[in-house]
Amino acid sequence: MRALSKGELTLHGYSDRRIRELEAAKLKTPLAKSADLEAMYVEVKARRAEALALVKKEGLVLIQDKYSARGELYQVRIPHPALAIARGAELQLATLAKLIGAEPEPRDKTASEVMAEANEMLEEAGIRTN
Amino acid sequence: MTDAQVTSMVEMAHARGCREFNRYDGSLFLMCQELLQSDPGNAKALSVLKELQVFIATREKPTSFDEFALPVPYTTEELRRQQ
Repeated sequence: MRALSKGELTLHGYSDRRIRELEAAKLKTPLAKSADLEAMYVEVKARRAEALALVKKEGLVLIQDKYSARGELYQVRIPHPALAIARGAELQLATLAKLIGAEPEPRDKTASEVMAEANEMLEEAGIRTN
Repeated sequence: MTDAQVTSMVEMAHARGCREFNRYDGSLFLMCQELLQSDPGNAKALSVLKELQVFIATREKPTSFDEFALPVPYTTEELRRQQ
């Protein structure tokens, strides 16, 4: 089995480098690669769901047995390894979403934000409010 | 709202690249702003103001009928001429 180079492939699947490669490929042939990106998005999303299901089943932290230098057994709490998988998948999903143009809709502005923008426009137009 | 304010509003929108913004849009914008100042809970005015802001920013006018639920946006001069 080929040894992994630094940062190439992590426990949670596609590396940043792989995504960058796909991004470069997409820029060259956008139509040919967009289906690949969508397939990857679905795959990574499924991995995230699987990781979160495992965390829900086994808990956020796990207890791990360890031995001291004197051979005494002790236990430590460690974050569930699937959390790292989920986190990695989330980062990849965000990158992939940008590449395939599936970014979330911008949220609706609040009333105060609308008023603030209106006042800014009025000020720009040289119209005094109040 | 005065004719001069409407003109300034239209000029501001044109300066931001929205050449389609006309005097009616300008007076509607100013009327909504005035309505919201006196009644911050006016949902129709807020909705129309939001639409006009999107229009200025993107040059695409969102379609809704909220503006027809508001009074006709007459300027002070227009009201005076009517009397």
